[in-house]
Amino acid sequence: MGKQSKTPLLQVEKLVKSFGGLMALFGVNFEIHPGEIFSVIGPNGSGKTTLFNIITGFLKANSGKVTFMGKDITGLPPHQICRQGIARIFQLVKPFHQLTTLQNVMVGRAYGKDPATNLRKSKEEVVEILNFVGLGNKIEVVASQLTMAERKRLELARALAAHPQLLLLDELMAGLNSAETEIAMELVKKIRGSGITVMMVEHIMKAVLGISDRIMALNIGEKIAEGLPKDVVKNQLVIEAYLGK
Amino acid sequence: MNLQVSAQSLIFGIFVGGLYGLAAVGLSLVFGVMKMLNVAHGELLMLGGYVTFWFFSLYHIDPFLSLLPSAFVLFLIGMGLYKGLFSPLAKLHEEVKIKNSLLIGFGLSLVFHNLAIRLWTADERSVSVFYSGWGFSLFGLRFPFIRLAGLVLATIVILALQQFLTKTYFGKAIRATTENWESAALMGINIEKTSMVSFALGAALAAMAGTIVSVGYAIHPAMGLEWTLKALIVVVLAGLGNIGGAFVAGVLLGGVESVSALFVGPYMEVVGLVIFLLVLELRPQGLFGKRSE
Repeated sequence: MGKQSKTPLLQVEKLVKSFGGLMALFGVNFEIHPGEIFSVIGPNGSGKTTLFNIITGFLKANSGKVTFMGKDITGLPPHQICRQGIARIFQLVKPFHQLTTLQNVMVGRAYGKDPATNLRKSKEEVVEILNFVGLGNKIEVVASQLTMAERKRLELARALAAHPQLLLLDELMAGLNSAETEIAMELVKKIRGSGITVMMVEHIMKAVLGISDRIMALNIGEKIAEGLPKDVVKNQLVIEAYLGK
Repeated sequence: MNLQVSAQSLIFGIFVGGLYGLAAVGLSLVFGVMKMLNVAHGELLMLGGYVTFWFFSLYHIDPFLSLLPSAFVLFLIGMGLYKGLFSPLAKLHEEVKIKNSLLIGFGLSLVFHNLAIRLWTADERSVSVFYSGWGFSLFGLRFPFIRLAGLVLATIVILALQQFLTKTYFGKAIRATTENWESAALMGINIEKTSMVSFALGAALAAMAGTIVSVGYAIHPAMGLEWTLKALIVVVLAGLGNIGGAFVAGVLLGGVESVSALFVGPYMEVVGLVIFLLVLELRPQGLFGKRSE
């Protein structure tokens, strides 16, 4: 087992992406190991969300390679990447507004990785997931009636229902108050505890430093630092990127 | 003008209205899933009618029997159109997407219109079967058999579609995509396939409407725009993506138009458009639509 944890779950090599003349990612390399909480930080426009969009197949990279569990997944469409075991939540939540929370999560269960063949049986599991994220008492509520914090948790539940090995969290904490942030941090730790590797993009430093195992810092499409949280925040390049010289 | 004439007009209006509903559900399905407005929808309906006309005049196949074959032919044409013309738009920003789909749709409608003139001439055609004149009277009102059958068939098709969308695995994928395609893709739904099948299904529904029109009424190459407009009015009336509502709204529009024709004569087309504007102004989510934020 000790040896297996050395093989990365996700490996990203020399990723390049440009939008016209704008370089969004410029040869980014990194690896995520099973069981980690891996955070990506960087100022606005540093390429964090672009990176997520490429990994999940919403954007195609100009060059570079993404390998997941030893398999090349570069350029696969989003639904196939989901079925390989990568789930994601959006920075701006995108629930199915007219469905109840239960039905929303059912979609993940029905079409995600190892899709449910018997929806009635999988309902139990979905209720369990909703309890896990703390929406157990909102099962029959229509998604458009939920508060922002609840919608974020719904998005999380839906992603979990797709049975991911790797969960990408795009600014899960953004827009939450500090009490809600605490709850969200606990939730992320619980998710990792259940055996799911987490990669997150986050602006709230308290959360990033509190739960990450490793951090990667991006600035204008390039990796400027990677390592333990305490080392990355002391890195001169990171401080300059955030505060200016 | 007596009550009987009004009642008879209303009944004929309801018969046509069922077809408005059938034409509208196809348009609504395509718009819902892909956020593209296919203004050539009426031309697909016209083509479906001519396919049935061909089946009848060349092979003597009863038009009601060729309902499904004709739908199948248009399903294939729809798949081709999606793959060749509409799928490249799928990834564009929503506003750019709808503008481009309008351009493609207008182009297509010109092409189909002229193609139909070439293939079938500009004359009005109709499929006349031996039972065309059959019917019965009730309280002095006339119920022609083929128009009644048309309404019944339209109802059955719409009910079947609704079952398909709410009960089947693929139908649910279509509805999830309608609500939010990005989330749907992320949950493992194949958007490309869902869009293609929805578009083809829209074409097949148009073909069924066209088939019924070719029996009970008449078809001609220039009918497309008129049917696209009717379908659009009904979609707005019903609220987007509301299948059952589209049928009711279609019947409503047919009834209102037909009765108003007694009073305003040739201006009855205006009545539908006035209703269209009023609904857009007063109740933009449609008569039966849920308000979304």
